[in-house]
Amino acid sequence: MRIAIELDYNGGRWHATGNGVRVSAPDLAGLDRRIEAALAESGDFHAGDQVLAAMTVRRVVLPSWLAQYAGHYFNRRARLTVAPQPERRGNKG
Amino acid sequence: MSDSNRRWYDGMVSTEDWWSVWLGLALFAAGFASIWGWDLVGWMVEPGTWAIGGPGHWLKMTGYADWPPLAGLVVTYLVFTVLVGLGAAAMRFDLRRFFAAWTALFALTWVLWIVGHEAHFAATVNKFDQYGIGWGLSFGGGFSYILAVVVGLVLANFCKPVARFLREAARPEWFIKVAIVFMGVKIGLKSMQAASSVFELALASAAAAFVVYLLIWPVMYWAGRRLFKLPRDAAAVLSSGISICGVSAAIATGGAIRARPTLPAAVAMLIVVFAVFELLILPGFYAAFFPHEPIVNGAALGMTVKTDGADAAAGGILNQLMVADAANRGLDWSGGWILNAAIMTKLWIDIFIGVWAFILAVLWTRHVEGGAREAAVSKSEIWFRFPKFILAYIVAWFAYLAIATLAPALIGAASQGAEIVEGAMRHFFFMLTFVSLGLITDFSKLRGMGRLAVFYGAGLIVFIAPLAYAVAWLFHHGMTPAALRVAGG
Repeated sequence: MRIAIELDYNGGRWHATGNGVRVSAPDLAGLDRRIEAALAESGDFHAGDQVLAAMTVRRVVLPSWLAQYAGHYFNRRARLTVAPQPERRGNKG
Repeated sequence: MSDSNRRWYDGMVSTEDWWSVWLGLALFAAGFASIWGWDLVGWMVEPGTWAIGGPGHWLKMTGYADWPPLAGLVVTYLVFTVLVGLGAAAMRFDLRRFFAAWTALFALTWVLWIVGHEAHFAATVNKFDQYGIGWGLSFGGGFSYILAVVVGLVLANFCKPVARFLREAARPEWFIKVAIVFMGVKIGLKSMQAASSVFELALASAAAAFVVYLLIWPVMYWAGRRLFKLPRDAAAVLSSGISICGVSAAIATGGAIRARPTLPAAVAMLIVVFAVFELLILPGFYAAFFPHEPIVNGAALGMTVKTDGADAAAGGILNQLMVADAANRGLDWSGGWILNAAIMTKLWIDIFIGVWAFILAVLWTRHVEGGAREAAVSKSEIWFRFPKFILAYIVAWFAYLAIATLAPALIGAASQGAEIVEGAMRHFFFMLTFVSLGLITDFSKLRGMGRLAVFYGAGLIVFIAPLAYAVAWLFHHGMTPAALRVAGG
């Protein structure tokens, strides 16, 4: 399964939006974990589902005066595993 | 509307890189129309050499001989205002502020360009009698370039409100990319005259750029980590910025290693400031100490001076200084070969940026700190980082090469439009670049850079500049503008 996510960076945090997800974290590894949790909460996925998240970074993450030097920061693809729902984790425990 | 790059054509109307393609190609096409007998670029004006109270015209038409030059200047303003305005609107600049700043920048640029052509600054020794002067600096057109950078710097550092106002339109990389597309016309013209020399120069530049890539980056990264104790991400971004191609490479590397965008942004300011030091010092240094190696000097600048704008500025100044010096010695080194050496080397470096960033992204995300979740790096990253203005440069170059190969009878007609585009228009965009480069360079931004600034300065002086010169000498030794012209027939 494949989803599209757009990344932004401000206030010292990465922000992810798309596919009903809207989360933020100080680093990309933390952001991945939050997306996995948000997908679980959306109800559209099941725990353990493998998702390929195609993440595109908005050009505005760079200051406007730098736009003339580079029109692209990066895109990344992350293999995410939808997190177990909190209540299920409680049941298992 | 999304402002990220998802599909291959994203950014075609919203990025400055693509707008340098559209502006460059529009004016290339206007010049190219001369093969059908249409002069669509003859409205352009250019400064002439003049002397205070003496002979010479400070402004002259490039094409339409019956037009008064002031009318040409008005049309020049209108045409370029419409063109950059289209780009500004598509890129969603604040149009009211942009037009005000653009108009002021246009006026300032022309004043400096004309003043720089005063005979005491520009005339070579053999022209002193012609202008009725007894002394002069003999800088050729290079004095205008130096004046443009210096006035920009003075405004940026001592008249900050004025600089802030002008910065809305001061886009040195955008302007220089358009000028480099015009360089494609220039190299196309040269291909019509001396094809084998152009390819020899292009191959030598590619080889030199490739060797420098392989040698400098690993050493600078090692020095950053071991000697200056920089964090991994800062060492990587700075190494690319200092050893590859300045700001673009720093941003590409920051993206490749998934760094916070604030890191390449900080490094970018450092690069811009150091690049201005380089462009002010190196052309005069090379011209004074290596007066018999013009092409080596040009190629060395291409590998040493970071950012396309500063490299072109340095190459332009070096070209003018060395051509004027050669003229004083009775040699003809005209034709822009020295500048071409500086630009071609830099273009190869620009082309490699995307490939280098891709390799770095693969290594970094797999082996350094990407984490288990990172999937394979998409090859589309190479395309998104590819400098698109080079496509227009190649189109312009090969269009004229095709004329030379397939329809040599049209060379005369083709040259008529091409000479205005690669001459007056290119010089105008160079001047815009140099004024803008000064305007965005605020030396106070170096405060607090500490270790990064020392690392940059030391690496540049001790390692990069000497090595780049050695590599340039290895691949370009013995080439002179006169020899290249003769070799090309």
